[in-house]
Amino acid sequence: MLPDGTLPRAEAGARVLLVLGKGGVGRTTTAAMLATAAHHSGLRVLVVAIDGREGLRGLCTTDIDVRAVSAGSALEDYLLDQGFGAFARRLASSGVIEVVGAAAPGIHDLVILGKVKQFAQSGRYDLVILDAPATGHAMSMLSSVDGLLDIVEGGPIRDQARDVERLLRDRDRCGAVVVTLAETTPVNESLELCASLAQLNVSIAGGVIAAVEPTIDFADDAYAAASGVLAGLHERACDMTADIARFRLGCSAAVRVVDRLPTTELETSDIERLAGRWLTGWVHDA
Amino acid sequence: MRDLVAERNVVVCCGAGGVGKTTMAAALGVSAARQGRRVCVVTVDPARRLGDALGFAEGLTADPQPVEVDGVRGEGELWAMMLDPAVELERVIRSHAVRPGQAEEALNNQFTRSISTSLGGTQEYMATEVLYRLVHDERFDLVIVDTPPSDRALAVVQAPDVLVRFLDHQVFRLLMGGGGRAARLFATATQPLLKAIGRVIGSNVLDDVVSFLRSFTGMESSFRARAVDVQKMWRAGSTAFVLVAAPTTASTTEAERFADELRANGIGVDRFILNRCTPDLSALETGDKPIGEPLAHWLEWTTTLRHAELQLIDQVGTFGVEVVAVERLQFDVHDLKGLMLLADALDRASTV
Repeated sequence: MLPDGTLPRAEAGARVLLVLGKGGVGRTTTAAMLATAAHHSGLRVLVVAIDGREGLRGLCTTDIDVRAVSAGSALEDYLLDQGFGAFARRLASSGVIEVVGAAAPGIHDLVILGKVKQFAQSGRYDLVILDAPATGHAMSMLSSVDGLLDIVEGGPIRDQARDVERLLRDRDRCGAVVVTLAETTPVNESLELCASLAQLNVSIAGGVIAAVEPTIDFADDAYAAASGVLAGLHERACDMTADIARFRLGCSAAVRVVDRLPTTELETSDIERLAGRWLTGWVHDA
Repeated sequence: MRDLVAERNVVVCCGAGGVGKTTMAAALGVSAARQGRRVCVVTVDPARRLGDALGFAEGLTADPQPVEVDGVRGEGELWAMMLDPAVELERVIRSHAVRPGQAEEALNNQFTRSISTSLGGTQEYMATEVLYRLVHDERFDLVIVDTPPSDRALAVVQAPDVLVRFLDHQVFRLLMGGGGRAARLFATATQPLLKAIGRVIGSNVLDDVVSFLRSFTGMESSFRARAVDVQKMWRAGSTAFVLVAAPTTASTTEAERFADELRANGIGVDRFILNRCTPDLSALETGDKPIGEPLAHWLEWTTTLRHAELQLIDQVGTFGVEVVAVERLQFDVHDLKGLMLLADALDRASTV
């Protein structure tokens, strides 16, 4: 089910996939498609959406678990778990949580990852997919662990940071799926993302080139000569092929291409269609 | 879009990530300079893309740099810069300091550096500071700014309000060790809160924060005055808000939600740009070559998508904001030539 053809299972607990990429490349669509494909492969799947990114729920069939986690409520939950009881609510309502967030930058990001870890260890799922924020925020989220370990000397937050760090660095339990588009700038930025992940010691489970439009490679040059529009199309097709090749070469894991469907609104049935193609290997390998 | 950049003094480009805000801001800048305006484009996007596109090999800096643009009329000039929150925080602290050595004290605090990049709100607040400074810079008569993706863009708009609230916040006053009997009573009452914060994040962290906040003593009133000025600037008639979205339902829905939130903050949206719409290729010329199967398939795909987009454009048109549909260019916009062509497209684009 991963781009390399393996099923993303972990030896113990669930496998965690972090779906990463810059804004607008199709992370949510990819997360929904992977969840649907895993579901059809017999895995128990949970998809985690952050804050307002709830479009996921409308893309997955109802038999796939989707949970929304918000930064503020995750911190409140966490404080409740830590035995702060009703105090946590008072902290939250008085705005002190904001001060805590200010005091320890990245604490919100950490508790979200902590929540993902908790889902993964619950025993209820084989696969937990996080529809992560866009690259910039996602990288500060992943590095918040080290940041907090640096500044917080003790206490529950430090323990939490250490647990999350262990999960992120364990390639058998956690991996990133890097999503990009077949365009020059997105591919450049995705290759930079791959390098940053390597620096953070987070393994890459696969690459996805999303929303690839049909292209025409005019074998007969006369077509391209016939009109400016056709020449433009021909050039676009060549650029796209080159960008796809560049991402394959630079990404350390297997990469697969997903077609763009000619619609302005993806629905569950579209995701089923993409997941079906993904599983049967119909997805064309450009 | 010509009218908007010809008349206003501030244009704010908002939208979700990946819809082309930064590129749009730069193209609007080109359009404005060509109409004779002295314009400065500010990007909050730390990616080097805009700098590359404008031809700055070393990237953009925290100070405006002039850009060579062809076809500029009259006094027209294009300048560009990027927001560097750390540089900006230092400027802000230096300009608000009320006693000698205070700026150094605040800047040497180890938290000052870390919050300038990671504290939610700091970057947004710095964005408003830069904008305020540029609006009052005599070199420019138009400032175009691109904002962080929607959710955080709202934070830019709300940053002054949040700051004022924070300055008035009991916890802030407590941490600042304000005097007066009432304050002391309050301090006693809330001590457990401080202890609780300390238990969660470690008391060393809390100590650092307290000394960080204390180093700002005396600067509050000037911070507050600035925040009030910026609140007014957002709502001024000479400020325009432009929402950029992709022609997909998910993107326009998010944009509409964002427009509602802006409205709730007393700010109206002036234009709705649907970027990268599929061009009309139904009258495709193939010369004497027959339209073969691959081309026919491609045409069908494109036509299907275009029809769906046209329906969406109509739907967005009922939303009460002028809609501008900008067709996707045949190439990636990644250099000045591309920006000029996009500016041409924007000049041509009429509202739907």
